[in-house]
Amino acid sequence: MSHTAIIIEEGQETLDSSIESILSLANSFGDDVSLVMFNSDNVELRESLTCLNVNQIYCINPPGTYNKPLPDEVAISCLEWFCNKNNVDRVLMNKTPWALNIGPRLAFRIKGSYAQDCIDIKRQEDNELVCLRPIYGGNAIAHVSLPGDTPQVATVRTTPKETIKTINGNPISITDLKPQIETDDIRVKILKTVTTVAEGPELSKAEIVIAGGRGLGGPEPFEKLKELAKILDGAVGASRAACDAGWIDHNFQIGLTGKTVTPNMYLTFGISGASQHMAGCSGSRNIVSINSDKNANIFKESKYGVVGDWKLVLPSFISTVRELIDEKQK
Amino acid sequence: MKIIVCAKQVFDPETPVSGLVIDEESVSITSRLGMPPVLNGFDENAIEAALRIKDTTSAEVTIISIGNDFVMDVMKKPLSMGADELVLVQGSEFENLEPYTTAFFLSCAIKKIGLPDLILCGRQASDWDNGQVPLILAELLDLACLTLAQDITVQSSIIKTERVIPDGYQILEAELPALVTVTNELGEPRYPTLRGIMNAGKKSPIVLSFDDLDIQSYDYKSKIKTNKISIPEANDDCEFIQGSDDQESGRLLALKLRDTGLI
Repeated sequence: MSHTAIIIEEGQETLDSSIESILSLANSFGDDVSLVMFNSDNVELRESLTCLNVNQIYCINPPGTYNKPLPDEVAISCLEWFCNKNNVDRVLMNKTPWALNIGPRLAFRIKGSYAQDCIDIKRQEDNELVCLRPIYGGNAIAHVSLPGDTPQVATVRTTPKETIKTINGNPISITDLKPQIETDDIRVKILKTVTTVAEGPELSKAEIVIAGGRGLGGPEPFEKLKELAKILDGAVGASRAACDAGWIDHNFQIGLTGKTVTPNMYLTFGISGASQHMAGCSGSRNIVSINSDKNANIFKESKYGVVGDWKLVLPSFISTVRELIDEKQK
Repeated sequence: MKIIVCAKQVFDPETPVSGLVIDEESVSITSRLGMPPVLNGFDENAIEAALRIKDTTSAEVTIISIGNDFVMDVMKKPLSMGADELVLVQGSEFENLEPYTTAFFLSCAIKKIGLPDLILCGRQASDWDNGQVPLILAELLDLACLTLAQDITVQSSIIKTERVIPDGYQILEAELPALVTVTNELGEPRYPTLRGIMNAGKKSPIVLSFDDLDIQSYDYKSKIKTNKISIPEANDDCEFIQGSDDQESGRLLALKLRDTGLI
């Protein structure tokens, strides 16, 4: 029986749909599946994993004081040690910036192959994996095969699905591990971590996301979008063009190299819908778009659209939304 | 100090899907419109990062690229922005390479021209978005690897970067030599200057062939294989909300969203 290991990012503290979504992919292979997390004091995650339908759960405790945040090198060495010791045939990770930093180097160390940002993976009879990866910003899909005779590493683009929590009758015990690796010569040190918390719901978890793009023409319109977000209890996002222009901070960037959002409604103003942008929002259940160009790509992905000048559409839209919400709350 | 920036010539990422043609035999993509290629945007950010270091120190910046069909106007752009040398690793052996093989040949070429203090790479290329070459290159050359930099400072032999993470950044520190991947948060690349363009015109690239790389082993076997490329189907069922003017459209859209339970 071959062995698929799902690696959970160091720092992830709760069980979320990304883990369940990768787990259902791994279970479709019909192999042994193990979950791998870091740091046994991550109690909440630890508890919640035990109810999942897997064969093994491992918790890696990196040696030394390098555990939070874990330097890439230590994480890679720990995982290299783990994969070799447990004869791991394939490794799956959620496509987060962390995984993108780790995946290629782990694959290199364990003399395996790697595929980034897969939207689907099929296991073949001979252990080969066929990975579907968007290329050219999502305009095309490459069908890439990772050979079955060496370890395979893949990062997966997860979308929230209505997954059935595969509750296991008997909770699985967790195997704690202390990898034997050298940590004396860590070359890249993390001196400081700086994070900012935006007002309102978190972008990647919001049920309504209101995004603006190049078509907005400047920073001021984003204030209007923030006002709308407040009324709808949503979060504001932006295309890379708007962020690169300095109209809004890069923390709001949605797309292939920014955040991935999966709201119930993704409401866009002045976004043309280049495939690099769509890569970050195509998991939205409903896309609603306002754009002056009726041929804009965004309409091809939208459920509802308005062809018009956002400067004229937005004020009446906001005031009507406000009335409707007020009415609802009465 | 010596800096090498790895750069790739790619199709303009703005090429519409209708402009892409799949070559089924070589499993690759060509552009129908004959649009000229461009430098990968993230690589331009990396070049900008190198030139910012050069602005304040006496750095020497070399651009290296690997491939076969180079368009010289595109490849010389970094020189016109202020880079000092251009090295092209060129030949039919270097067409349609997968990431591991690309990194392997690049590592050989970099050893050949001399290991620098700092290697800068764009975080990924906008054509295949593999994001692997820089990281494998760091492994092959056994270098400290600092990813997703939005800012870089070098003081004597110490490099510090700001690495972009969700909702913020981390400050990383390492000793040179090192490899850094650069992301668009670093800021817009500078425009070529007139003087730069004239200098670039006079400069010839250093061309290395497969034989020049002194490859001893055959350790460059592909690790992955692309079987096929397909074009995803677009669903085209948008319902347009149209009022008598834009104001009314905005109002009708809000009502529609209420009626369908979206708000």
